[in-house]
Amino acid sequence: MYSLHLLLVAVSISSVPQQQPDEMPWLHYVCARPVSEGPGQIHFESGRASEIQGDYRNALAAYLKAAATGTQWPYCLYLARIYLRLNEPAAAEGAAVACAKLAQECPAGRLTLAYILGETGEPARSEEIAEQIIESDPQNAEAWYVSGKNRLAVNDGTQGEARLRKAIELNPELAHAHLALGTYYSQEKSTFERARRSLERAQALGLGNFKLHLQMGALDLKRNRIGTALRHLESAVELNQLAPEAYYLLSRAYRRSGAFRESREALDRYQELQERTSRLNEEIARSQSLYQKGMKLLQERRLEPALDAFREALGPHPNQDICHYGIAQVLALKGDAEGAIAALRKAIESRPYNAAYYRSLADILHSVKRTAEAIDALDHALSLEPADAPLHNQLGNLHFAASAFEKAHAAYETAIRLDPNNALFRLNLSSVLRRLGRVEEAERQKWIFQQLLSTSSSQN
Amino acid sequence: MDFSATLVHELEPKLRKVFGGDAFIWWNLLVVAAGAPAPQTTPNAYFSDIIEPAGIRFQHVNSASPEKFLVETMGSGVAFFDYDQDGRIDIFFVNGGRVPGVIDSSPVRHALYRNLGEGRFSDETRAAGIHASEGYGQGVAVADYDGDGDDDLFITNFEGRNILYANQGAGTFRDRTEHAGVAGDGRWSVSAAFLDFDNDGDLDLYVTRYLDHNFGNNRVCGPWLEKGIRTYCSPKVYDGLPDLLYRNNGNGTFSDISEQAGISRYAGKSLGVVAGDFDWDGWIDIYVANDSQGNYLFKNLQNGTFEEVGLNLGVAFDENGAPQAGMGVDMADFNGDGLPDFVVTNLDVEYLALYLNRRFFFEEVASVFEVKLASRNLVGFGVRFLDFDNDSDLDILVVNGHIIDNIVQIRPGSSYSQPKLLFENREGRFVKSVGQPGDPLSLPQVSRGLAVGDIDLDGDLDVVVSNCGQGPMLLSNNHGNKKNWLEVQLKGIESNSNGIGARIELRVGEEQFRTQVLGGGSYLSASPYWVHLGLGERREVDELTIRWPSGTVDTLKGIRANQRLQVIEGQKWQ
Repeated sequence: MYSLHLLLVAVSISSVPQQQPDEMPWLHYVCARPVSEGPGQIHFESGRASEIQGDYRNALAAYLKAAATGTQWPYCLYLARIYLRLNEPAAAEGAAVACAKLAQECPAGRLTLAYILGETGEPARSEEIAEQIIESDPQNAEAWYVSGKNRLAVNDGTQGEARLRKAIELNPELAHAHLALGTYYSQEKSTFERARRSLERAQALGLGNFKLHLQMGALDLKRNRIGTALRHLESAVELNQLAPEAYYLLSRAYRRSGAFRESREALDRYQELQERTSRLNEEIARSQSLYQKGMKLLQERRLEPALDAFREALGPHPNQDICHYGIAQVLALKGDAEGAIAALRKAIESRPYNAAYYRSLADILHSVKRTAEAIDALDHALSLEPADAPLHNQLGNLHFAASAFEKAHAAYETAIRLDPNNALFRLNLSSVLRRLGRVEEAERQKWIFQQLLSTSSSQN
Repeated sequence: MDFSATLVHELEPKLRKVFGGDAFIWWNLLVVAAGAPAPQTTPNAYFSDIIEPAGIRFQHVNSASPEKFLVETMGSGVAFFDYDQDGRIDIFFVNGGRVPGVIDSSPVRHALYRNLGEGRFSDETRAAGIHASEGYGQGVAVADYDGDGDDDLFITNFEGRNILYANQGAGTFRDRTEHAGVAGDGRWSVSAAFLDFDNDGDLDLYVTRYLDHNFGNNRVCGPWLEKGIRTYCSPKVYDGLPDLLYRNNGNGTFSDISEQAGISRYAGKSLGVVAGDFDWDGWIDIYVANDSQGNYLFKNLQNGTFEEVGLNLGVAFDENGAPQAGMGVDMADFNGDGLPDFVVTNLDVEYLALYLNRRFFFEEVASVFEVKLASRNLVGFGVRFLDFDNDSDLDILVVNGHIIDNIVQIRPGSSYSQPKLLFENREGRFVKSVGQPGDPLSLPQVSRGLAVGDIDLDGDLDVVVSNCGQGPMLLSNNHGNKKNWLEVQLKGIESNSNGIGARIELRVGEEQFRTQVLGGGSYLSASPYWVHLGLGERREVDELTIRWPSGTVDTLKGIRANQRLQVIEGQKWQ
């Protein structure tokens, strides 16, 4: 099993070239052994190179390979971010949740989760985590930054501004906090001047990404600085040729400058990209609706129509892991174990950081007597949820079924260490001790089981 | 203070004699003070809610169900109009309807309230011959479509035919839908606007349609990962529908010319509509707010067809090119440059969009005029430009309420019921009016429809708000008449009877103002066509020019403030 040795020191990933300030600067200070020492190093380096070049699909493939080497941390941080960049919020959240659990003492995992939740429209959940980090470490500038963004997202301008200012006070070089503050100030004419100063500060700190140029261009357009607006928006378009908003703003700037032909061209490009974006958003919304329909039908045990709904939901987005998971549930209820296993493997392929999928896979593999594969699946689940007592107990059961009594014993012991008052775990431990010939210890565990059971009965 | 104008019509012939047939009437000479029941007033609040003392008991029925049919949360509209021509504004409330699975099958009734003066209203629905709601009631449009001198009613429906009630002139209405040919095909119709797009002197009709959705194709929606929470669906899960344009044949019937006019090419997800002349060329155009996709601006090509120019002119999307959830819409020159601008209400996390007319294109200027942050956490529906304080610039009133009734389960801190927003125009920016405790604008409600008019004839604009699944709010203006005003009612002769599309220019000293008589506006609702002009400290208008859709131009000079006057097209002027 993968074991994590937290060093709780800042380790720089120096081998990866950095172009400019990162929106998740904590990724460069991971609380674990340096990435270069991990077995997935080559894949990781390849992923970083692809990511920096903007080739997110290849970066994702490389990070998944790095994670598949068995060393999950800290690759999950990068995987979370690449999912975010690929606009796959559920997968990003899944990877970040796993990261936060893998390294609970390290704020990088929780910060990543908070950041991703904030970016994917869950500012309240994000804020809960950011607040916890701030409470335990009030000097954590990045946590203040994430918190400030969350407050702005729920339209709490006063707190949002104050928290971003606090982040900057703690770390004046936090370029993305300046960018966030500048973006906020850009929304009211009375603060346009402050917006300009914040955005220029971010730029002076080395930030020159798409978002910064877009914001500076949009602000200059509002301030009637058409020449500089054009320069920034042309840079933005150069940095991201798939962003409709950049072309729209560029079209507006050209029109204001009197360059009508260029304005028309930019607007045409905008229209093309926007139509694509709208179509994708509609497809996702319809897929989401079909998934919900499938879940409703599944609850009503209307298996065939549920299966149809989940399959239709997959439609244009075959990587939608929860639809595969839904299909697996239906097929399992229909007794089609092979189909369910295939569906679960697809779910895992598109979202490898969800322990529940591995657990379900283990269950169904065990039901068709493929115990070795089931154990392997549970090992994966435990690498993601090492403190999950029922998972350890389940692993014990599988080893017991495979007559691997020593391994079963170890798993039950771990489960009991995590949850000493669980009667079932005690009974299982008693059984395996008896098989190992350790009758006296078995009797003692059985006595504890009975005590726990009677306590539980009297309480009920 | 309430004033009554009951004598207007009795004295009108005498006045005509006095003024030698001149077609403007100094109504304000006739007003007499009358005691009104005291509303629940908050000191210094701009408005007081007088719904209870007014005797209005209407309750909107939305039939909220576990199936979460989207129509349940869309609300229904409200109209201010003078159906009995007694000079006072009456109120018509559209009601919703029943949905499958709801046990109560008692009829759901619209309501027509007659303004009795002195702040009181009486329910005249049955006496007026208005039937129970057919289908699920949505919007209302009002105008004199048959040119007989009184205003008729058009009601849109979800899962039901749209209905045209012709005003018979004696306080009663008659269903003339089938004869007129405006029932539609039963698919989801929403807001409607009367307009004379071909300037032939009779009123045509534009009907927005929302989604290709009905009770039979309802979808299941909710957040991806939160099982068990069912919500109203996003419009993205349904296809849009093309809107309808009916041409008035001049004989009480209409022809559906959506296709030949170039309208049906666009299958939008339309909610609000306003008809007005955005480019001041004398031909009325149509602006449509779309939910989750770009808004449409149909420019009138003056040959019976329209060209959609929303994207090209910059009124389709927000400042960054993102589609918003357009609901309500209005049109007016809010910055005083003589060019008509637009406002569109949208979802929370979006904002109230303001499109400033720069003659050859528009710029979205919500942040420049400082309404962006103030409107970001509210879901806006009904909206009107209005000069509520008569200081001669246009303010904005927005009524709000979330779409998702269980939003608090999904987004803590949000709420289904929301306060209203009043933005006061202060020299180049809008300042949000902060309500004091007890201010009815601060009261959270699930507000949808909004209409504006001077119900108590005291010279300032009052407001009615329809709420979804709740009773309405009737807001009496407490402050506006401290400043000067002028109200103009147009009576078309060659042009359409309501004067829709007429452009009005005022000159006061060196200052010039422009306004026009619009069709539609707001969300699902209708306001009177009387043009209300706040004059601030000005006591006289030097010149008032009316450019009628027929091409006739009438000019009045030396008009005293604080009066309500009727202008009849083409009459002689002093």
